Amino acid sequence: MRQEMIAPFLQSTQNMIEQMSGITVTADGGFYEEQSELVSLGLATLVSFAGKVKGRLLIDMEPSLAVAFAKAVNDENYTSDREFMVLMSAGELNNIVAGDANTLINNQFQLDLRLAPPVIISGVGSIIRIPKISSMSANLMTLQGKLKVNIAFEGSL
Amino acid sequence: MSEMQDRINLLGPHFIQAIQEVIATMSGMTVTEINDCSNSGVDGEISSAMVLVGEKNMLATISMPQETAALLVSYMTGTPIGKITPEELYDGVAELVNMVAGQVKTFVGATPYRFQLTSPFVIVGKSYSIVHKNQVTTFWKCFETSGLKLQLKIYFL
Repeated sequence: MRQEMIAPFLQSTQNMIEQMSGITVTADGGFYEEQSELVSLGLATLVSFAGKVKGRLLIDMEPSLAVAFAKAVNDENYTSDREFMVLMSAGELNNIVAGDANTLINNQFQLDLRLAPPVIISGVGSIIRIPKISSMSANLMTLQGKLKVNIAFEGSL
Repeated sequence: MSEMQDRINLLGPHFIQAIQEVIATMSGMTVTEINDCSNSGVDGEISSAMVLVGEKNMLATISMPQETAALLVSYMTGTPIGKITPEELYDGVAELVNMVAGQVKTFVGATPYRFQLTSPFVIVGKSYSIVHKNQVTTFWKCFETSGLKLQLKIYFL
């Protein structure tokens, strides 16, 4: 997978979390090839996109981070990652990141990618498997918890 | 009649037909629609899902307990239930939603409700939930085969 295709998603995730919530995000290593199964940290959001190629962005985070992010963004207190606004805030983050990164790569590669709304999957330890498609992951750290960015494209340029 | 109702009226029967035909073709099993489908949650330990990108985006999920998935995949692949690996199980279930959505895509290709497929994915776990925004219209049907149940759900995102 081309670095120019995946790097914007990682950069955008860091930027958007910091801009939206003030939470500092640091990379814990670079991209690595993901195994076919992801075991969710707690709250996973997935945005699919389709155009000249297909792809999807998965952002998976620990419940503590999801709560802290929603609290900062909405200026309200939440106690559980299963609260509606916590779930929606995580979904919106993915939507914004995918939109931002896809604008960059659409401009660069003319892929005409269209985003679908985020799908939010809640449940620590749930397995998310996307068969027959290789993906790249990067781990990120915050003081409030860990998150993972996983990006996959199907089809070649 | 609303535009959404028109959409459901057109797409719903195609999805029902597709799931019945795909399972019959792949496994030789007959699935019958059942009326008792009152639970709006995802009733299953395994959900195969696909985002369908079109003028109105959709999320299609087929959810089922582990034993239903094992039986279906066993019939699909000819592998005895006890010898199916988790990877085969998940990939088989993913292929199910891929084929169902693919068949519906063919049915509606010449209508305003046409859509593009994205990569299927599978969610596995005991307590996961798929969350969506408020006021998302959903269409769901339950089916039975050999005493086992599965659920088809379409979210109009």
